Amino acid sequence: MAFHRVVLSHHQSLYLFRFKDLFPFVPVFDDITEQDYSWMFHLGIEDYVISPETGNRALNRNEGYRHISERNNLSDGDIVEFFDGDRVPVRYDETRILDIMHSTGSSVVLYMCKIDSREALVQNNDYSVVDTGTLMNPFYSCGFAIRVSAIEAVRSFNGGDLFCTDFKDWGCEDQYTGLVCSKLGIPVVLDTGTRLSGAVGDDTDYHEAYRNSMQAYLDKARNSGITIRI
Amino acid sequence: MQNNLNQNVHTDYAVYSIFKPEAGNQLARSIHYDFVITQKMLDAYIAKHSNATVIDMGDLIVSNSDGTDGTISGFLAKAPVSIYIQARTPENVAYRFEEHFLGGANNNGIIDTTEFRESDGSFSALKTDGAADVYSEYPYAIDGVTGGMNYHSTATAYVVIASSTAKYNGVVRIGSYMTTGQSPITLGRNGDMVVIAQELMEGLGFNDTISYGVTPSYYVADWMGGGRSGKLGYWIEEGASVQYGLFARIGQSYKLGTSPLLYEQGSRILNVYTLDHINDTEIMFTSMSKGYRIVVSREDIIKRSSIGNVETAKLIDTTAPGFPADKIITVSRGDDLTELETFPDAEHPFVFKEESRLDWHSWDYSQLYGSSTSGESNANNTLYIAESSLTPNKVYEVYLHNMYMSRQDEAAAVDIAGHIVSPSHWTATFSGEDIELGPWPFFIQFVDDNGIPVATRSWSATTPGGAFFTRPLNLTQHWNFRDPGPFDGSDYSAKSLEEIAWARLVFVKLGNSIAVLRYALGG
Repeated sequence: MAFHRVVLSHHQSLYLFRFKDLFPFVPVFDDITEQDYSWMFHLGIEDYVISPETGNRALNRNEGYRHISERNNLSDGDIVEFFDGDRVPVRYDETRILDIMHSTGSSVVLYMCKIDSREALVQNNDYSVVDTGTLMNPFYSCGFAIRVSAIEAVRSFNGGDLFCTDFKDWGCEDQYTGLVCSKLGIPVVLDTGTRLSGAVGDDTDYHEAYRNSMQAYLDKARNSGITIRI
Repeated sequence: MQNNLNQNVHTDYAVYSIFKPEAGNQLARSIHYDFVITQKMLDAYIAKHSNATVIDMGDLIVSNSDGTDGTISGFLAKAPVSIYIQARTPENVAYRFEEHFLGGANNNGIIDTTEFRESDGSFSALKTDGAADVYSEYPYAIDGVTGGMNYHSTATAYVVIASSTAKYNGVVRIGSYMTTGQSPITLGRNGDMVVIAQELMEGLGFNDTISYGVTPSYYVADWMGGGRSGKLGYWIEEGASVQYGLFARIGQSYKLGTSPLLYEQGSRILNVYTLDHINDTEIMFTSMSKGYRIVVSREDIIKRSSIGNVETAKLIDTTAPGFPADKIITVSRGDDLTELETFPDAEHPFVFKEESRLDWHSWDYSQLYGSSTSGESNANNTLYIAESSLTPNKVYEVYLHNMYMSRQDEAAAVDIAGHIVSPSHWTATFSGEDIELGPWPFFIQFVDDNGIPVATRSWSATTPGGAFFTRPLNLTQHWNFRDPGPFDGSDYSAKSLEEIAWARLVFVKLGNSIAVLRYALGG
């Protein structure tokens, strides 16, 4: 069993040195810039991915996983973590993630941000299995761990993709993955004890196209035969 | 290129090939440095200039190998250039990158900065960007923040800024830095100096004394802290002819991964615009709720225009306390504007047509500011929507715009932007200042063909922000409005009618349910 990490960076390479202090990872650069190259050089990062399509968050994560799977002999029990480039773990313990997966039998652990609108779902810095089959399910992709066995199950359902690349605008590609996990019977845990920097949950206000993503989300679920619990 | 024998000069790559994606495999290369400051070179220079607390980088580079002064005679390199400081600099010594390095008004330094100057030879935020990159193995101090410089630095090789004197206009990038002064660094008269710093490790930030046109809201030191992360706000005055490098400022903010916002403030307006797109010639902001777009050109010319969008409807009630206008209610659907004789009510609910979005602008506070401090759904604060007009599985958005008549004695609140600080209040931050906004927005009530409510949506006082749970049908929720005290027209300034906040509801009709996908408050 081994951990592998993917960090998405959209002009956020200034945070990569903080990730580097924590663990090895493969950055996926969205709309790569000279500044990104500069940071990579200074951090000694030689293993990286350049996004083939700017702004497609689902594709970026998929590419990160493809990169890792091509360079490692992954086993079902291996764990892949995905982080957004500006969501650096501020409270993080690899052992805790393993313990949670073992004790709950889950294959996915969602991490929380310092300010997080999912706070009410779990209390007291603890964790619990959450329902990701609901309309507004809490599967947010800013930081989470997932076993390879679960990735492959989702990919098999999704035509080869971990995250569905039909979502072009900001949002909802992760919640759709939550729906798929629910349909496939993959338990998902929300862990309030692992924390990332920044805030999450209330930022849809700044994405005008969010309505489009919601529409794509509903259409995709319906076309995939997924029943959403309201 | 260099004449100091103590320097290690890398000359194997052309200066313009560094960090360019097309250069290929640059990670396998060493960066090309035009100048490398070695320990031996620095020590020799300091030995011959023992009283120096400021070292002019131009003088240091042309110094002789024994540390004595050399001669500046013509350009040694053409900007952009890169410097690597491979030396520990004494704590009491700072570097200066001005007259003998970038050159003064006559371009008489060691670097040819012609292409980074305006035609009259001056520096500006539009032209002077990235003239020199400075890297260092150790922390170092700079004397004055100099336009056009990129101080690459990290938490272990940070920059110390001791001087409050800014030099040259232009864009300055600083990585991890520390300020040691007792007051914020004032950029003073350098009106189009843009300072973009990434991480303040210790000390104070910057002040900007621009008095007209654009006032930038600076980055915040702790972007990792989740406070005001990733957003920079820019204010413009209504009808202002903006100068001072607004285009460059916004562009640099964007490059750092921020989401620039534009605030337009006039006598009766406060519009918030979000970034639509950015390219080499223009930056476009839009306010879908107001139906306007603003384009900032590379020449810093600002133009505002209307957005024609047939998918958007607007419901506008123009009655406001203290204003003489008769009550006029209009429904705007793209170019189609219709006046209504009565406000939509249970018997005459709003009917969605092709549009997927509705903006409701209303400032009728006759009920909200009555004697009661308890608010509940009534004809004046509720938007009635015909449930039968909703297309199943189609996602709708409704924006409720809170038009607020602020009081002259309104006190500024203090809390984090956009976060509700008490159940009956909410705040928003404008240019770093948190302002108390007033009462909460309104109710939405979905009614059937007989005017009977099938669902009422409102904003919970206990769960601000994103919602995860769909509310059951027929839920009616009450909350307490803020008590403004007895209404007195003299309490209100005549020019302070502003849109300062909005509430957004995203919903869909699924089967027999109306599911709330998201509700949010903003300002």
